[in-house]
This record gives sequence, C-alpha cells and structure tokens, in this order.
Amino acid sequence: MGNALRLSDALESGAITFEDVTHLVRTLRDQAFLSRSRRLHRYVGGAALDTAQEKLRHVADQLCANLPEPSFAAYRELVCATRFAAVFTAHPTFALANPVYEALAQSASHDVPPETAPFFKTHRRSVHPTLEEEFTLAVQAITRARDAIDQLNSALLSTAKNTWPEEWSTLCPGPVIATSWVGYDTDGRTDIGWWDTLRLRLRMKLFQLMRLERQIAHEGVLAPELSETLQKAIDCVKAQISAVPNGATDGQAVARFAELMVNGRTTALTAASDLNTLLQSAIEAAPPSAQLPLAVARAGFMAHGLGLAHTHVRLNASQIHNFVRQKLNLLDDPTNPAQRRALLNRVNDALDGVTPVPVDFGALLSDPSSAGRLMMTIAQIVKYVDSDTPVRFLIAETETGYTLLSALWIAAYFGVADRIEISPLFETEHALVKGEHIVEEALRSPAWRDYVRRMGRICFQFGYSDSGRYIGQLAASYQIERLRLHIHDLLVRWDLTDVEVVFFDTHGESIGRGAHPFRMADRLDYLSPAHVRKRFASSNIHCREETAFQGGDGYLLFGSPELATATMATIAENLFLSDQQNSDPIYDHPDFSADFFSSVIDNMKGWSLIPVTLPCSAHSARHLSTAQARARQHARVRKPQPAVALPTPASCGQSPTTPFSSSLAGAPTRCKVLVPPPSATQKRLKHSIPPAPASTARWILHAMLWPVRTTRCSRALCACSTPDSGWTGRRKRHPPSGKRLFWPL
Amino acid sequence: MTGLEGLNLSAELHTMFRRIQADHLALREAWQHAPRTEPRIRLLHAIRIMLIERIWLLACRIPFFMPRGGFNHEMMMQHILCLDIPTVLKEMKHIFPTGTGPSELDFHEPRGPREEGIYVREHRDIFTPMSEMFELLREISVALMHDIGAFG
Repeated sequence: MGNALRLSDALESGAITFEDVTHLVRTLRDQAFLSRSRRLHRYVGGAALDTAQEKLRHVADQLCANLPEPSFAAYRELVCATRFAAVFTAHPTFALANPVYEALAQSASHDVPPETAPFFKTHRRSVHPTLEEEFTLAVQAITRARDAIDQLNSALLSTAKNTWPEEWSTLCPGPVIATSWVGYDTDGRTDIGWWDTLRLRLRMKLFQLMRLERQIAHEGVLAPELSETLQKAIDCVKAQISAVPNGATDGQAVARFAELMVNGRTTALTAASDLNTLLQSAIEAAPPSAQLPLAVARAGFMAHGLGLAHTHVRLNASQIHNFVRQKLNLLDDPTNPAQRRALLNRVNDALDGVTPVPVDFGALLSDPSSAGRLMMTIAQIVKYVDSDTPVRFLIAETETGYTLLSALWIAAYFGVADRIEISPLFETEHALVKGEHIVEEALRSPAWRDYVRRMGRICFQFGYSDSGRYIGQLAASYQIERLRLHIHDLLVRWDLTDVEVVFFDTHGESIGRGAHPFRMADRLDYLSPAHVRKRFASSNIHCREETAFQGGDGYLLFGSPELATATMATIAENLFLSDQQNSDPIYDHPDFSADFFSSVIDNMKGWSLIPVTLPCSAHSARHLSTAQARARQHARVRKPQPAVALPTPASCGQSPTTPFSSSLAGAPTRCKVLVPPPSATQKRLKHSIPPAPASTARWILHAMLWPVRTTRCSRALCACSTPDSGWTGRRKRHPPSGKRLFWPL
Repeated sequence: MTGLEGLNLSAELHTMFRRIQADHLALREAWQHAPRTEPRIRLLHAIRIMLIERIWLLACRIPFFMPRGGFNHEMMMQHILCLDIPTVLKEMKHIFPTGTGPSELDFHEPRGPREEGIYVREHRDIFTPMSEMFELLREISVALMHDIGAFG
C-alpha cells in the first residue's frame, strides 16, 4: 500500500508520467510472459522434438521387453486397448489474444528460451470468442495432438515390425485418443443449437477423412479404390455441411439437409471399419518404405472413427429429470430422499417396457426439450455420421442414480441406448461424499447392469474445478480417490469386473481448478495415483483414464508440434512406465488421512477447530464421533443432524468395504477435533462471507495448501501429526533448487 | 451513507482478510520457509492499487448530471467503486456527447456557432484517462496471470 501511495504521489507531482507507468507494466508483463513460456517448456519435460521421440521409442521398447509373455498377441492386447483420452474442452476461458497464445507456444518450444518477448500492445483478447473461434482453436490443438498420437503409434508399430516382421502389419494400436466436447457441451450454454452440433460434428468427420486422404497421398501409394471411396465421401460430407440449416425456423432448409443426410448415408460412410479391408490391402500392396506410415494412418483413423476426435456431449441432470417427468408423468422430486425409491422403481419399470420411437429431422425440429433434442441429435449422428464410435453422454450435477436410469430410459426411447456411454459427473459435495450410493442405486437396476454389460464399459466423470467450490480442491482430490475405490468395490460386488472403467477427470488449467502446477508428469500422477490403479489391476479391471485440456490455456500443451510430442511422451510414460511405488502415506495411514481431509472439508464449510486432549485412537473414524460428542458437550453446542445412509443391497449379502477401516492404538496425545459452531454463529458466518470474496479466499487457501497435497501431505501432515510419525511423502517432486515452489500471491 | 460505505463491504472484507490471515499463519506454522511474494508481483499490485485510486479520484471530477434512463450520479459512483468502468463510460458517452463533427453544408441562413466540442474537456481530462487506466488495470491482471498461473 505504501508503494502504491508513493507511486500515486509521483504521478501527481509529475515525477513520472502515465506513459512511464504503462511502459513499466508492459515490461513486467513481458517478463512474466517469458517466465510463463519457460515454465511451459519445463512443464512438459522440455519441448525438444528429438528427446520426445526418443522417449516414445523407449516406451515402445520397454513395453515389448516387459511383456507378460513374449508374443505378438500379448503385445497387441497391450497396445490396442484405449488407455487414455485427451479431452479438449472449451469453457469460456480464452483470456489471451490468439497471437499471444501462438507466441507463448513458440517461445516455449525453443531449446534455448528467448531473452525478449514479442511486442504486443495488449495481451488481452478484444472480444469474447465465438463458438466458431473456439472450434477452430480446438481443431488446431486436436490436429497437433493427433500428429503426436501418430508418433506414439509409429514407435509402437516400429517396435512390432522389428520384433514380429510377419505379423506387425495387422496391428492397429490406439492406446491414446483425442476427444472433444467443443460444440457439443450444452450444459450452461444457450448459444449452441442442434444444428451447430451437427455442423461441427460433420466438420470433424470431414477433417478425419481429409487427414486420411492426405496421409495416403503423402506416401504416394496407389490405392485407387480406397482413394475414390474417400474422395466421394469427402465430397458428400462437404455438401452435407453446406446444407446444415442455420436455425430451426426454416423447415424447408432442414428438409433439404435431411435429404442429403439420408440419401448420402452410404457414400459419406457410416463407420471407419468400412475402410478396414481397403486399408489393409493398401498396406500390403505398398512399397516397404510406405507400409509403416500407412499403418500409422490406419491406426489413427480406426481409433478415432469418423471424426478427428471422439465426441462428448453434456447436459445437466435437471434437464434429464424434466424430460422424464413429462414423458413418464413422474412428478416426484428426485432430490427428495423420501420419494427417491418410488421414483427408482417406476423408472425401472419403465425401462423394462420402453419401446423405441423413430427419429427424423422433423422430430428434432419440433422438440422443445433440451434432453430430447440432444438425444435425437445423437441418434442422427449415430445413423448418418458415425455408427461405430459411441458418444459419451455426460450428465452434470448428478446426485442420484435416478438420473442415470432416466438418461438410459431416454436413450432407449430414442433407440440409441447401445450407442451412448452415459456418465455421471461427480462434482457437488453430496456427489463426492455419497457418490458410491449414486452408483449403487443405478447398479441395483437390472436394466442398468445389462446396459453396462452390453456396452462393456462404465463411465464416470469427476469435476475437479467445480468441486473446489463445494469442498475445496484438496479435499475433492481425496474424495475422488476414495470414490474410485468405492466404485472398485461395487464393481467387484456386482460381478462387473469384466467391464472397462472410464475415469474422466475434468479440471481447469490452474492449481485452483485442479491442474498440477509443476510438471505434466505430476499432473497425471496427481489425477491417477498408483494405489488406485493397483487396486483395479488387482481385480483385473481395465481402466481408461481421460483428462481435460481446457480451452485456451490447456491447448498450449499442444500449442506446437514440439509441445504436443513432449506432452504425448509424458502421457505414454505415465501409462506404460509409471513407477512401481509401494508406499503412499495417504493409504499407509488411512485413518489420519480421512481425518485430515474431513477437517479440510469441514473447515471449508465454516466449522471451527477446537484443540482438546483425546486418546490417539480418536484418529480412527470409528472413534471420531465419540470424540466429537465429547467436544460438543464441552463447547455446549447443538449436535448436527446425522447424514442419511442408504442400506446395503439385500442381494449381495455383505457389508460395504472401506479402505479406511483400520485404527491406531497408542498413548494419549493432543489432537484437534472438529466441533460445529452454534447454529447462530454458522448462519452469521454464511451471511458474512459474500460469494465472490469467499471464492477468492478459497482459491488462495488452495494455493497455499497445494504443496501439501502435491507431496501427498508429507510436510503438513508431519507438522500436524506427531513429530516422529515418520511421514516421508509419497513421491517428492520438488522443483529444482532455486526455482519457485509456490506461486506467490 | 454514500460511496464506499454505501456498498457495505467493510465487514465482509475484514472477514475475508481474517480468513486469509488465519490460513496464512497456519501455513507458516507448518511450513516456515514457504516462498513469499516476489518484488515484481508486489510492484504490479502496487501499480494496480494506484490506478484504482486514480480512477476513483477522476470519478470525483465528473460533473453532476440529470438522471438518464434511471442512471444517476450516485449509481455511477457505485459502478466506479465496483470498477465497472465500461458500463460507466458507455453511459457517459451519451450523457456528455462529443457531437458528430461540424457540418460545412449551406443551410441557407447566416452560419451559427458549431458547439460540437462542448464536452471535449470532460472527455480529454476524465473519461479518456479513466479508460486508459482501466485498460492498464486489466493488462496488469494478464501480467499477474502469466506470473502466478491463475487462469482457467
């Protein structure tokens, strides 16, 4: 404040001018720009193309060397299953002007960081990005990601070619894919109509077909039938795109578009597998030097289907409820626990007797409901754009299994139940803390279990960024891990270990929204700790990790070929060469971890910490309630209402397991116990903290406590626990000496 | 009660400050050598506070005006104190118009005065500097965003 006053005085007296201040701000801004570009360079482990390619080759060689059995079949099984998806999201977070983003990526891509920043009068974007601009930026990033994926596939195929020269050409690896929800995510957006979704999805199809055509032409391979099929499909899709209506008002335009879509269905291709035979023939007929590039092109094409990236659509749970309420006359409130069971029974009955209705563009034109329109849009995409690749159907703010069953009923009603992957998004406090009940409510339904088995996949989405608003970023990450373990137990209990589990972690690009600040490798470790992975591996459950790259800043990780390849190399190392860490303080001391993160949650919700002397065994969850009761008595405050717990299924015959059930015995020690403040105080606290400043304060809290979570509580828990507890941290990943460990405020 | 007091933010601000301070003390207790704010970031914050003060001082020089479409002087001050400068400048452009430029056409009468620049002084001395300062304020936000990685 003193500096600000001195500056103000200097400006008032004329000692400095406004131009001097402007120049100073630009200088400091450019220094920060260079600092950010160097950070980005380090974040991906150095953006040198050769180094990244060497890493990819190393991954492939190690994979081949460490196969469970040295056979082509074992290698194929390992590299052909999708293990990771990079999801390109597009919230309105494009803060910088496009040329500044490009300059940032270029600066970060140099081996030797530049000394000076390129001059820009302002780094700010002049106007908010349009949907078209968001899509263009996303496509640029996805294209670079696809190129990097091709390099990974090239390394995998090259190793296979050297090891199994007779069989390698049939290999179609696809461990990493790109996915996009740009143009399809309609949760909280009113500027995206069904015509926009269809137009952008068709453009993604066009880019994919053109990419394959370009890759074949680049190798100079003569495959007339394949080229002709591709060219006809490209022409047809171009015509379809040009006919997409600009709104829902012109029925004639929609009818013309429908004609092109329906009549051009075969010409435009409806499945990537339509070209499988032609591609295999082309590879076998190609000269030896062109075989590998063609196999790489085929791998990318097959893994992504008829789109440059896979498709995620998103809707809010309330929109699902509204549609089902109208169609099934279910007027009860699904958020009311007293009415939920009756609702679940009724929607289950409805699932047994659902008869699909036909869908045409006329139905799409007239449907006023968001859920109906989106589901019909998916039906049309499945019929006329890509029949093979399933569409992920994300449901924001899912807080009950009823939502999942309702979505399944809508999908069955429109005849696409076997083509969409319904995924709850866990982000609210209730969803994160009681998420396993939501999953179990759905799993109790035979229709849902049949659906999961038919799809061979069960999908979950975790919202890191928004969950920070509810219980704080630190606690959210722990609750998400805990929820994953509960999901594991549920899948084992319901005998669903043969289905693939998809965990999609959605987060922003800053520490306050769930992205690790130091290194890409840490970011991936943070999202998917080894302990959880091992738990699933121990039950032979295949897991696919998906993680978000948020529009604007997240695209920088694919901002240049160098950055994209380095990012892909880090992903590949994380997938295939992750360390065999045996110790994790979070799980080595589960009771203390549970108490610690519960304290964080309660602290975020306005509870207070009151130090009292208790036996050490109070650390265990079992004894904590007694400790709290004693402390409450001491503080003479009212006992809070207990949470409602759902009973276990009668059919399973066993109680739910919890990974945090052990207890510690020891001498009495001094610890902190959570005590709720009196209700009047609680109300006053709630009213005294306005939303915006509170969120700012919480962001700062996250920022301050981030290193704690980063090193898995090693430091802070040591300080909070007994001094000789021997916590060493799961994996210390401190930046090099002298570098910033923490973002200053 | 007008001005900052009228916004009634003081208690909430102090609540937030105490919350941050408590967290900060807890962090320092657990981690004595936690890094501190770097000088260039402190300087950027200082410039930002200085610019906010200058904008508020400029606001005091805006002449009184008759309410226009429900937008009165008091409302204007509230917007400025909340740093909603674009809204204020948009209204000011209508309330203190700069004219459309002197016409040189022949209107078939002796030429009268062309008073198109009657509010030039207000725009030159108040609104234009206020706009420039606000733009610089936002540029500081970008600089801080680059530096601390708070985006998204």
